[in-house]
Amino acid sequence: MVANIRNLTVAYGRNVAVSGATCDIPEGCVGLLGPNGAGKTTLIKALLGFLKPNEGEGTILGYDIRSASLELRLHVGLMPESDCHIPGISAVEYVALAGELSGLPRANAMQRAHEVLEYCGLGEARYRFVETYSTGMKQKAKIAQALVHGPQLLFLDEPTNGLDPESREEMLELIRDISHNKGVNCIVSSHLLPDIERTCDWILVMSQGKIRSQRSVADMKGASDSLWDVELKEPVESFPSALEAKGAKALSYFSNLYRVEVPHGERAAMLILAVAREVGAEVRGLRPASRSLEEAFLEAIS
Amino acid sequence: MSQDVAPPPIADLTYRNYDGPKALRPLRWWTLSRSFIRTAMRKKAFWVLFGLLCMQWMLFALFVFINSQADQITGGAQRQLRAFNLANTFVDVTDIWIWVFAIALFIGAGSIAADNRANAIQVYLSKPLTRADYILGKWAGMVILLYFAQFVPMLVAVLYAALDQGFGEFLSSYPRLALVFPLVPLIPAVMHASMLIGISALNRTPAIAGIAYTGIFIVWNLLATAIANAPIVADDSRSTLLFLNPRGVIYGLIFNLVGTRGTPPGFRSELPLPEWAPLLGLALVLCAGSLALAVLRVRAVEVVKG
Repeated sequence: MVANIRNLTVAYGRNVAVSGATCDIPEGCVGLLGPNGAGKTTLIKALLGFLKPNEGEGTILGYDIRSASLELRLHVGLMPESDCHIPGISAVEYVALAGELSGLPRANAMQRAHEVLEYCGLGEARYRFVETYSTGMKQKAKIAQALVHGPQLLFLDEPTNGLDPESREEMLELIRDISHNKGVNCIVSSHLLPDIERTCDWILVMSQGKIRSQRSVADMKGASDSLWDVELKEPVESFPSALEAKGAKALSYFSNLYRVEVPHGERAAMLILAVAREVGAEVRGLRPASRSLEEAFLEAIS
Repeated sequence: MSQDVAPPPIADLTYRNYDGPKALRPLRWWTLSRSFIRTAMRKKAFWVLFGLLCMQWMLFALFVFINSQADQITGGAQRQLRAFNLANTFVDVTDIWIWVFAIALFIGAGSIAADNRANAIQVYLSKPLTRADYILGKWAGMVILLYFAQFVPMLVAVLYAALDQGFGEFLSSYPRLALVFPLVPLIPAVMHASMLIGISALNRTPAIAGIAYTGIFIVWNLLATAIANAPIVADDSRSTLLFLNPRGVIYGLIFNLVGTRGTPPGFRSELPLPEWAPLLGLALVLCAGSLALAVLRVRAVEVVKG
């Protein structure tokens, strides 16, 4: 586990932004998913020690978020949501300074700055001032400054904010490469489901300051007990009505493919096969239905 | 055939994660100071202002040169005049505040305001750096740069004066000046740096921070002058009241340090020194207050309490 959070509550005055958050964040790439105002950024800021939690406790990489935030920041990187850079210096100086501030010796920081900027696709533009960069390049510079000191955990807050489709693709590919090929654990905060689906293996769903769900992407999208995909040899008109008579429901169908909802607790396969036999339909395929991430997300926050 | 294929975003496929030395340094604020000094010294305007400050000390050297020529012409009759003039002239030249102020404004107004505007504080504080480290780094960078910008031309000018007179005579005639002149640039450096850090932390625009500081510096000075010259003020309080403002504090302390108030234009005789204790008190309040303001304002996140 890279982080353990127990009953964490963060409030701005009377407004509770994060309420009783409890979760264990595994290694790999974890998505922090939620609508705007769900408390994702506040949770990240509390974990980094920017905000003092009102209640609760937590550790990241074994460091206590209340008492060891400096040591913790030596081992994590943050790509903030807002447009940010250090004014008046070139990208390579910016990233090297970030490295030095993160505890790297000066020569190593400069060498790493060149390497990281090259890796992030800014090699050609590294001597330009960051304020002259396009939005996509600024996002890459932000990720480079977060990555320069070789963090074990990288927080990426809305990494695709304001990017055009091409830059977004590049950014998502970069995040996937960092987390899956370079061994850096990532926590990606976003309200964009496709971004999370592309990059993450595990998802924390937040809504109204609470953690609603924490599961792997496969689990979230995976089979539920109640939804089944049925393939018949040929369409049978009476199949949906026969299902309804038995308490089940054909949610949608296309040609000979039916998505069937079976009440919880029923022996679904047996029920569907019995109905098919009753209407004289030949079942070619029967499997638990997989949901889209959007469906799973809506279910989690509902 | 494959010309339409876009290049991959990850250019360097040999990239590896960093596994070299990395440590939490006790003097981590120094990294920030060094960066501040480097960035300021790269700007042409800094060197233009520094050049103007050097001219100020060339004026001092020119006065020493003219004085030495007068000494030769009159065959030593000017000795007493020269001895009197050198210490006072040092103070008179130091009292030309405008170029030090301009350099301070140029490097200091944006010290935190520019970071506020670019959201850089969030980047700084996401590193193993406390708010105190950040402020100390900026403050120390500004103090060092302001100190050396004043000290270098001052040292050259004083060395020229010492060479002109001979080191032995210079040391015996002006032992106090020889001892304290390296401390003189420290007073404007510390005062300007501290106050500018506080004002800059309150703003998101360097120009606004600069205008605010200029306003405070000049208006407060005018106000203090007006109060000191008011008919209801007792004569023995006038001298000290005149100095109870940021500019007055800086130069009042310098006068006390060197031991003379010089001979400003329009005054034929030496003026009395202002009381140092209230000036030091006000200096400490201004510096500590400004830095405390910066500590309160510098945050990684904008916290809006509802």
